[in-house]
Amino acid sequence: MHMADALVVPAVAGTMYAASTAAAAYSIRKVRLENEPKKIPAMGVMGAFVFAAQMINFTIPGTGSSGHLCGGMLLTAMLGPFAGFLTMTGILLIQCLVFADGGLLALGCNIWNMAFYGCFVGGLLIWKPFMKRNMTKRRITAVSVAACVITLQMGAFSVTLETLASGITELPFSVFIGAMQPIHLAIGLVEGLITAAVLLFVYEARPGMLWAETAAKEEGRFSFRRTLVILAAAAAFIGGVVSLFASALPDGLEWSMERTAGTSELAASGGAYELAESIQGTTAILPDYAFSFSDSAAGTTVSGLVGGVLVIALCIAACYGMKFFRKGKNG
Amino acid sequence: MDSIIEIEDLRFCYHADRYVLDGISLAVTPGESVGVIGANGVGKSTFLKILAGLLPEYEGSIRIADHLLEKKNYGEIRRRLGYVFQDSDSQLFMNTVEEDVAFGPLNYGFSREEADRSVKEALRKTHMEGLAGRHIYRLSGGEKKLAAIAGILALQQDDGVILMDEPSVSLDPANRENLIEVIRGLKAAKLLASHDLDFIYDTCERTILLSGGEVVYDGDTKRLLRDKTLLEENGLRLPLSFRFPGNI
Amino acid sequence: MAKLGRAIREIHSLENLAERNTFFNRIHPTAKVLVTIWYLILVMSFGKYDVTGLFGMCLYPLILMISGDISIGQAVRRLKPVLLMVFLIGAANPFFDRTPVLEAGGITVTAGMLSMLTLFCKTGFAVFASYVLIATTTMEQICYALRRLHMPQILVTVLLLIYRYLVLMLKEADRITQAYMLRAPGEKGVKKSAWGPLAGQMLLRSMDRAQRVYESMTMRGFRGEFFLRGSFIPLRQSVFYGVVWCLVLAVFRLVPVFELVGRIFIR
Repeated sequence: MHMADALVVPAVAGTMYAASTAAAAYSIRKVRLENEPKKIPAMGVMGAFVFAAQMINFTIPGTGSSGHLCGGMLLTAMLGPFAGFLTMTGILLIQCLVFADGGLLALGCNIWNMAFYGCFVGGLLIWKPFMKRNMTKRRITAVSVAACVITLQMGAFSVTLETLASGITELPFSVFIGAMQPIHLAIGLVEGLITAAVLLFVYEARPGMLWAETAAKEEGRFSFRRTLVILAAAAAFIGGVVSLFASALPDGLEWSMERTAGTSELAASGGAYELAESIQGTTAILPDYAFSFSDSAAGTTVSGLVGGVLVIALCIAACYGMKFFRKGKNG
Repeated sequence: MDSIIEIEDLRFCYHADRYVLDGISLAVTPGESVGVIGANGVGKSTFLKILAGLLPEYEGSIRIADHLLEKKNYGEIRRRLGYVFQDSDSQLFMNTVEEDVAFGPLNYGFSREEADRSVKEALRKTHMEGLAGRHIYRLSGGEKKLAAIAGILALQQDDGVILMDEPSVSLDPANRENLIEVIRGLKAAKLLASHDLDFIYDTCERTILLSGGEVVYDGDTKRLLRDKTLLEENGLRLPLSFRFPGNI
Repeated sequence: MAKLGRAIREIHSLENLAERNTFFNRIHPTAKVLVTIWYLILVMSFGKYDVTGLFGMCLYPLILMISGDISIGQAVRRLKPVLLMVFLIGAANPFFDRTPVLEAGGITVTAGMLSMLTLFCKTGFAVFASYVLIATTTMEQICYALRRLHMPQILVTVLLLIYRYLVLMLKEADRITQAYMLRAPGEKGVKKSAWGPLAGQMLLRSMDRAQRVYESMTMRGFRGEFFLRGSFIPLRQSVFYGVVWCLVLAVFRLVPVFELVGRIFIR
């Protein structure tokens, strides 16, 4: 689910960075308030562990394929949602820089899609209320699977929204969703089961190690009913957005025709349509070089190619020339 | 000579029913090298951890470098007392050798220049000058052990205490020899807990034998390690060096 | 699980690159990080049909890779993780957007093809630019830069600790899975009955290690801050480097340089 830089425009990337930064700032505050200095080395070591453990193949019985651990869920269950979120952020940054898994500009999106949903939604909204009263093996399994499925669905949906809002793909919303959601449903199920197995092992070996907020502090804040209400509201919101998009957005071909042909007629109108357009309008930070569809397009392209080849060749020659010159001076 | 460590009637238990250490009293003088031996589970590591302040709920009195071992003195004491863990990887948590060795001094307010000087000196004493910029995970087991010791030396200079828990474990013969040489050259007071009786013989002039929570022997290393009966009574065996008397 | 071995080798190879004593390696990391981010923002801000303009942005990674002796082949290999998703998304464009744009030599180039091309180019440029950054800047230096850019201390500390213990954990995971494979020949992964114990044991050992790390940190006076340092070229040279690149990149974003040069030779 790691997004590449090319899938987002700066405005979307910037928005998600802002959201992730806010979540990070909140998490840092909460971790500082918890005042457990022991947590910092735990975050580091567990982060490295999750990083490595996510590369282990766990064979799914009955199929020929394998699945992996859900890092966000595991970290939340061991360290709590806030420390878990910060650790996941660290993991994602290192994955991005060292392994090119996800882009640097898209990091804000990736942190939101994976760390935020995994730790805040999975941890605060799902794990915490269920574990507060009583931690049992059955609950651990159920919560682990449910949290993984839900958070992966939300993450996949966000990837779709972010990509479409950036306008870089012609894939219709329905096709995109139709591909992303079912795949991540299967992945979420598998990851949930694998993570549950690991958490059960820890629960049996050292139950005190699993994170569970003490009931006294947060009494009444998160009740089961309240959680259900929040989840239902989220589902309704998501459903509403889906239907809005489905009705307002024409299919990809017409959409691009509108943009390129420049007709004043809009095939459909609606809040989502204008929103998407305004997002696209603001994504051009600097004025775009106008691209007109006519014979001059061919001329532009040819000059661009010729000029490009010349400039690139010049630069390469200059680079090698400088290297040769430097070697000559030293050697 | 004033003692740098004074322990009076030390008692410690993990669980209410059983005392792991039950009445230990001893003193260590500056520069002295003391081995701590005993069977598995007898409390060697526990003993060292208590001295390092990692297990604060002990009974009795412990004074280190004239400070009573209690929470409010930890800062002062840890400036002079270092602990070398059995697992070096847990101890070396910076990325390169010089960063890790500088960690202690910088935390204790050394300026950059002072820290750099301490680091250089510490690396020199442990023969690690060439490895200053090396990444920790690329070091061999022996080099990691020396890096851990250098990290302690950088902070305390010569007049402190170094506690070592199983220092020779997983070291190949060459590294082991190197470590022995380095330890012999250290001017700090040293307490070494180890199963490796030959190592103890090579590094400590005085040895303590723990058994049943008490000090069963406290004296000359050679005399202890020759005493087959005493060793076997307390769950140990003669070290290899003493099984073939002709070799000594 | 060859992934683990490959990951370890990747880290080693990157560190070897970043620890060289080249000019680019000694530029202040903050300058390099800022230029990289600026580059990414400019590249991603190109419209989806602006191929020739976008093309001009290839110079930054190209110049740095050649001057800095960074292997282009290695950079291409780093496309692997994002290739599938980008390809699937991009390859759909010519199918859904068939508006003709120009005819050249009997081939009709459609808008969908252009947007696919820009998507692929943007992906490549972004991956190369990030590779250039990490190949000339160690992780510690990046953390130093992040700290200078006011990233909170706790996050930087966690980042450094994760990186410090990463290779150790990768090796441990590698050992555990190798030991498993030796006793379960023919299996490609960890089977269900071992899911819990295998990863769970490793997890518990990691928590124990974390406890020891905490103890050794307190033994050495840790107060929440890691002191990072670095030796770089004089600051004003790094500032000059940063400013020059930012301006050049901005020019290439605003002005169709390639096209202008081309027009000189084509009437």
